[in-house]
Amino acid sequence: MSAQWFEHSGDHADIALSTRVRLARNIEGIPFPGRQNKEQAVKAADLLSAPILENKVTASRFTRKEMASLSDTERASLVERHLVSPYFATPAPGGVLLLSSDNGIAIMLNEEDHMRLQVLGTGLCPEACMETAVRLDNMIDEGLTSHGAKYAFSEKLGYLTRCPTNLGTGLRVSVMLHLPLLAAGGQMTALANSAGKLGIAVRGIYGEGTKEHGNLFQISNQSSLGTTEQEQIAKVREVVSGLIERERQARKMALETAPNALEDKVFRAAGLLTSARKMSASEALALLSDYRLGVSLGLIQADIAVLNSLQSQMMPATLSLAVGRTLPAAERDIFRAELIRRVLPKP
Amino acid sequence: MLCEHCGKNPATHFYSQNINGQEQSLYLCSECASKHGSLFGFLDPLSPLSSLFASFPEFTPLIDSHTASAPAETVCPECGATAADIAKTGQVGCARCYQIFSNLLAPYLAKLYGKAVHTGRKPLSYKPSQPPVNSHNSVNEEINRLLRLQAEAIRQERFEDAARIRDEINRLRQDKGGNTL
Repeated sequence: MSAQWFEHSGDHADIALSTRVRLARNIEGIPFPGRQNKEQAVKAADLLSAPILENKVTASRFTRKEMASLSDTERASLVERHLVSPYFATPAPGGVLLLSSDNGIAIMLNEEDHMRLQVLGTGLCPEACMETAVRLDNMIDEGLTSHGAKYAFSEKLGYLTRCPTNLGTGLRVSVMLHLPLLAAGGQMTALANSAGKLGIAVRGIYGEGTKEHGNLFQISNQSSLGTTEQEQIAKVREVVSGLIERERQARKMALETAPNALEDKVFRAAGLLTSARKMSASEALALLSDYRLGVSLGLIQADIAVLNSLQSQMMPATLSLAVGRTLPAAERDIFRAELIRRVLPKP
Repeated sequence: MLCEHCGKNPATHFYSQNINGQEQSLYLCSECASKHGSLFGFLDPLSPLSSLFASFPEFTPLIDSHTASAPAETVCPECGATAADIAKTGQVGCARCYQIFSNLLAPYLAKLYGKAVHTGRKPLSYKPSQPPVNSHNSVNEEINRLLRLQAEAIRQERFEDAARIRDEINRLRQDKGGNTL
């Protein structure tokens, strides 16, 4: 397996787990998913994947996966690794995923829109992700033109999307943050409200409307019309930087006022993670949050990248895929505990 | 979208009526709607556009009963979507729907984005369909169009409208460096 996108650590990687940039695009003259027939869905998927698969450089880096041909476990694992949306995991006609070998670029075809181009990166890196996304977007754009097709676009509304809330740039920038001290201090609701006034959404880890897990929050722009891509990115970066700064202050204060309580929390988690023989996913998520905090504060020596990959490796479907068979929950907990003991250094 | 009466607050009330085939519509803010709604001689207001698409079902009776062109019957030639489909799902059927149902979508888009227009990237092959608005000719055309509207407003004794149009004409003339009225 080639090196994976998350096996690096970027800016503020101890708090910002990952950055994602998503562009929504549709083809003019083909109804959007939901109103297209099977032939039209296949045509859209073929038109959009051709530019990637016909280019020698990108063709060697991308795999085309028909969602319908994958097993339930494979699809669930893609969702756990945040490579596809839960919506996309229910196979629909023409549902195709173009996945880069490092899993850092996932292009969903015939999801809500004809194309959802996603680029992932470690740490806080929206500009770098956007640069990659724009390169691919231009490449696909040119490819469409050479096949006599084009993106659906209007001068006033920008890139036309199935849901009017994605009009404009079709861009959503999101950064996943680990904010245990702000969450413990009960500050997240107030911070989410003030971010909302700036047009920035704060959500739990698995996207819209879900409760946060492991103190992980997704910060993203809400509106994509009326401002440029750069402005949208800058706004997300501004709010994210502010949250990181506040989280660091809260950690500093906790270390000054109650160092024993904080250290106890971290080392208890480390003890359990590196010793337990059975571990459920939700318990592991909560303990990994404390462990990650310990690494960030320098209390535990471990590579943040290991924690990032563990985060998805330990999820039910991904774990089953690694073991090579569907595991019942009880057995999964044993394999999970074993995996965690193997990769996490004892403090 | 701003209130068509005061021009200050966002429009939250949509009025429409059809008299002898003549369709009229008006967007007002809640303040102006409560003060002046009845003065405009319109029927009862439709409910405020309070919850984005949730308010669309209320557009359907409007379309059925008050509009001669009956856009409720309109079907998008590209994807077969109707106004009711869009209202029900909150999603648009295809790119063409944005043109076909532009009137239906306008208040919703105004609520989401105000008067904002796209300022981001464009497809590589995209060519604007008309010259930029600041070109000399199109400004002149726009001024001529507004002059006609102004004359019409004065003829109908809609003096507030006429004044508003005059201000807009002056603004355009100033922009291109000409004389003002």
